[in-house]
Amino acid sequence: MPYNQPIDRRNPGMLIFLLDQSQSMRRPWGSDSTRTLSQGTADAINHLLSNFIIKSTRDEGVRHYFDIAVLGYRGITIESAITLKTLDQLPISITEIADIAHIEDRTQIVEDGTGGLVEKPVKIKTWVNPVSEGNTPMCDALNKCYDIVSQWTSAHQSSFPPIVINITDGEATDGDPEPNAERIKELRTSDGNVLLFNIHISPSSPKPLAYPTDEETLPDDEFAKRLFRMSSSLPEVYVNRLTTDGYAVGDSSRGFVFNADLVALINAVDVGTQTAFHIEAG
Amino acid sequence: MFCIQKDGNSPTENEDIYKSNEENLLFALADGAADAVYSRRWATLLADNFINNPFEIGKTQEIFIDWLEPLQIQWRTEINWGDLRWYVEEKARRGAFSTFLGLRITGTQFGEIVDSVAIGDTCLFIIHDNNITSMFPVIKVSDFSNTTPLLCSYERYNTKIQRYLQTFRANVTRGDLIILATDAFAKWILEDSQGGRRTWSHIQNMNQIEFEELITRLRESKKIRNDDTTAACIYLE
Repeated sequence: MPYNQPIDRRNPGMLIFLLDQSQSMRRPWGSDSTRTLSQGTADAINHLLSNFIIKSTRDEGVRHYFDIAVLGYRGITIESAITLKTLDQLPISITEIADIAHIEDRTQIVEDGTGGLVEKPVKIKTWVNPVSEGNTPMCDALNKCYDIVSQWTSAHQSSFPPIVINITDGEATDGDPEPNAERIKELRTSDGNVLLFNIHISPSSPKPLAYPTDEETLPDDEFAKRLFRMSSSLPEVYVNRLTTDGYAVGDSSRGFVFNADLVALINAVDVGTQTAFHIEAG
Repeated sequence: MFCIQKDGNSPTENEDIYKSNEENLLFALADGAADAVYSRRWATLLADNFINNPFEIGKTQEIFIDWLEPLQIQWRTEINWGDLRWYVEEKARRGAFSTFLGLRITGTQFGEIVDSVAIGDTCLFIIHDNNITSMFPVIKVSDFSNTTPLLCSYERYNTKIQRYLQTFRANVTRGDLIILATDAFAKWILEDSQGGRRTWSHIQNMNQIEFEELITRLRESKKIRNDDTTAACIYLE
């Protein structure tokens, strides 16, 4: 059965984010006017990276359970969205990610357990900063992603296949990204094909549409339909998890969320990355 | 006692801890949780303390929390918090976790009595006349799962301990064999014995190398989970 290879040090997993950093990502997210789409997306990815580091930590430090890349696309360039790392240095191991965190000491107001509030010191870790300018070169980003994933799958045939998550608020401005997405989905390890998720985020926060089963259930919008077709069919392990979580999914559901608000984005990133990755020490 | 670490790990990463005090007939086996930091240290504290400073198993529910508290303090104070990287510190603040099984054999005028206490899926088997006559605390293969109760090095995560703590008492006689085993091996013993086989006869006369060969074969044929694996045999002579 595919998509059941556990993660260990001999068989690490791979996670790639493609991050739309175009000008429209400056728009405020829903009624929370202090947070832009780019800020909310960066926060979600930073939170996830921190979780993956903790998940990979053992007594001696962070074990090399994952290789990670975050590609930002804007204007006419594709760049590493991980500060301190250039595009040609990607992907990097979770072990290295842990040691290049930008750490800021802040205080948070939290409940003290007796009905009161207390200030608690927290360390905020960041790797990805919010950026928003220029156009949306999604095709180029998918091409670069293909190069990285292709090299990685050649070297890690026994691993769980890479998971690619594309987060965008708009259409590609450099052509039709569908063929580029198809090429990525054709890449595989012995445990299955690469899984490509597309999460469309929306500033107006209409009701998110998650993991649709066919194009007809989508709004009459060619952009939404294209992202649907670009997304991988969900393997059984995802369908089972989402069914348990109360989603109306079926065997033909795709890894696609349309009009995601911040909560839906965080949920989708969690579903995409944590459903199938199962770490076995080793 | 036989022990082999999970395939892919080094022996120092093995988090199964077995301790015995044969003079006082006290034995303990603890299985530290892999997805935590300093679980091996926590499992060692539990097992060591039981064989050197045991509590009265008949009064477990009343005294276990008090018995545990100094171990939790010791676990915390042995960590050099100031030198930890942020991720190790963050994970350590979530606590270390372990199963625990303690065993005491007491001689009486009517024969020997075995008293045991357990939390989680580390098991004991009593073999009498070449048959399993008792199993504790897991008695069905289907009761092994990935979510067994664990003891935490922080009291705040042990709120349901009383519900999960189990005790056991049985009479044993000379010639009986007691096997303590962590979950992977315990599950295999149960599965194998259901087929009418007398699994323990494999390990009764084994040495460590033969045990490692057996586990390697079982792992390759997917008959046993790839996990730290420990079996301790106690013969009543």
